[in-house]
Amino acid sequence: MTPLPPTTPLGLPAPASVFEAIYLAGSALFHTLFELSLGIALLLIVQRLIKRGRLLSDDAERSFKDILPVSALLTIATAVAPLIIWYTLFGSAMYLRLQSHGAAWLEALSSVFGALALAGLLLAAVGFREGKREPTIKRGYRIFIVSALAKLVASAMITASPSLILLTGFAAGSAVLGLARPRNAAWLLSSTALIAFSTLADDIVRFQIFKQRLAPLFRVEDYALNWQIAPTVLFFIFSAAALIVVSMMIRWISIPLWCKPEDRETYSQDHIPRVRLL
Amino acid sequence: MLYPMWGKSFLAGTAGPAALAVLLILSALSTCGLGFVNAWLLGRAQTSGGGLVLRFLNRNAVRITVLPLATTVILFLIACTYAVLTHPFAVSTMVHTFTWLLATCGVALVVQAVAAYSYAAGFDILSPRRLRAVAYVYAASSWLPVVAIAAISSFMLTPGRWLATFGFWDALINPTFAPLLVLISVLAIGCGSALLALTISCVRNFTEGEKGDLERMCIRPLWLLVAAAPIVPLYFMSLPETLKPFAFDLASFPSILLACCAAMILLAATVLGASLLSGTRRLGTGGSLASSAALLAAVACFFMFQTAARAPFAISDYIYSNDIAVADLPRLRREGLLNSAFRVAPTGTDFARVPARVRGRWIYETMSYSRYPALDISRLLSSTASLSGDLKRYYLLGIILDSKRLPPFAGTAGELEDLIEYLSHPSRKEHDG
Repeated sequence: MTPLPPTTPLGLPAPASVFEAIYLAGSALFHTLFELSLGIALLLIVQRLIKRGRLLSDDAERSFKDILPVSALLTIATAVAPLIIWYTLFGSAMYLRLQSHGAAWLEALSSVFGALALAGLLLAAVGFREGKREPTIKRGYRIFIVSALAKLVASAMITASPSLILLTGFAAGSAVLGLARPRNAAWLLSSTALIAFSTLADDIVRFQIFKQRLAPLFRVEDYALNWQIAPTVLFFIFSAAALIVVSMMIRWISIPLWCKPEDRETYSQDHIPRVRLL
Repeated sequence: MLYPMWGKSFLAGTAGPAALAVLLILSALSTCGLGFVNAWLLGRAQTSGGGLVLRFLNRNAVRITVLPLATTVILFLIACTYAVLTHPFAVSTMVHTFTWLLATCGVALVVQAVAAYSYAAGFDILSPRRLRAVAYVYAASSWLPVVAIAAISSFMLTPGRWLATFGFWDALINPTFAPLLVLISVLAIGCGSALLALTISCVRNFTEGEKGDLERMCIRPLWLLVAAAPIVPLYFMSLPETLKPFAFDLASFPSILLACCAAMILLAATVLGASLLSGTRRLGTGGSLASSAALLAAVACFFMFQTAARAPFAISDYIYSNDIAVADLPRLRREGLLNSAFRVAPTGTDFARVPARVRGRWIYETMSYSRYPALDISRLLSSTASLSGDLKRYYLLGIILDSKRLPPFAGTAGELEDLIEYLSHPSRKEHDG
């Protein structure tokens, strides 16, 4: 048997190196962004399907639609960052291969509930942004509580991690308190922080399970990137050029789009100031 | 594999991931081709005052840029997840080798997304020069995934010096990379032209005469197909000697795929060339659909040829298609597959206490034999139904040990006996469960 790794006070296995800690933080960020986008999309689809139920208010639906492209772009941008996506995909795939197919369905369920939970929190945040509209905030909390508890059950059946159960449970508890005092933003913030830590804890535990189960087959170099100087430098040069090009295009398109319709008549391309990058 | 869906050979076999990869390649190539043809048409229309073309491009900006890009991104995510689940070691090797090329493609994807949005939203409000610049940025950034496809695909077939050095440049500049890149870039532009012709025939608000003018304009880049013809022999000359027989033996499966590819290109060239040379005759929905489908089928056949030619390897001479490394074969044969494998048997199992049939089933799953039609349980049940005793045993041994397209058996002699024991009395229910 592989000995258990050293644990932190919360019962979490500690990352073995700085690289591993960065990887885990990045992986949790990717995980969260991915689930957030999925959650927004799911809520919008459900809203379309249940028209009479009025799951979201008109304002909230509009706000979600505004956020969707940004969160989708963020997810794509995070997903294509090689330091995170490849190792996350690779790690989770190997982990999935080790599970029975029952656990695989639990994984999928856990992701869907996690996504809905995050979307619930975002809905509550939308309620705050729109002048503390209590019905929207309460609806967000309710979606969060139900989804977080369902995620807790699904995730606990896979990893059985005490830290995950505690953190998700606290997050749901905080949302219950928020339901009683919907105009107090502290409960929203604490629910958000706790569910974020719970995602991180979940990732750490999965990563450790993955490492332990595959320890005889994987060496350190299997995790190491191919740090050859020339392709790395070329990548950074390309990225810098891409940043300039993207900034220019956003600048070109955003100024005329943000003009008031009546000003567009007088708008001239010459009015666009030069792009200042730095 | 214990997943019900991976147990089906048509999903997890070599054909499943290859088919999905081919779909992704078709989408990426079409996106790139549409991008270049769009930028070229836009440039010509702006300089020569082509109001008709501008009107068409304006109305179809989302179809030409955003839609193909979104399809490619979705297929990319599905294909990646699928490939990682079915071939984790092979994918890991490619990711480690091409990390920075893939990262560059990721950045290009973000550039492409911003360019597509800017182009579609800014057609009316950007100055002509800037609109043209955005169109070319979109086209150029959509070409990088084509470079990655050429690099990875040619690397899997001909890893070349990488097998000795494991270096990035040796993997990238492998023997078949350059001719393949030129070939698929030209094919991409061909696909883009044909798909644009198809779009023209499907749109409304244009008269038949206008559609004819637009068609003749957009299929002009297809002359590149003729210009690129001399590259084809170069590609075949760059294949290693061990692969050439597969390409030119008329009875082999890869050569049939190549013949299909050539036939499809000829068909597309004939349809498009006839329309182009006639001067007045319209391509129409049928013609543009036939030429687009033929060109896409040609690309699909070509990439299926590459997959078929490298069997039983996922990466030639490095990893077999069941995700077992060539270098691990002697160790696995010495130490035993079950003792070294990580995929199927529960941790800490005492294999001596497990019945031979159960061990055989684990070996079958560890070797991923369900991926191969020859050893698919359903097929075995019917093909061995009339055989009995030694005859069945020799039949199974013949498939496992003599088949050139199956990865070699990677276990001890005792494990081979366990496998034969399981395959002699396979149970479909047990396997699926």
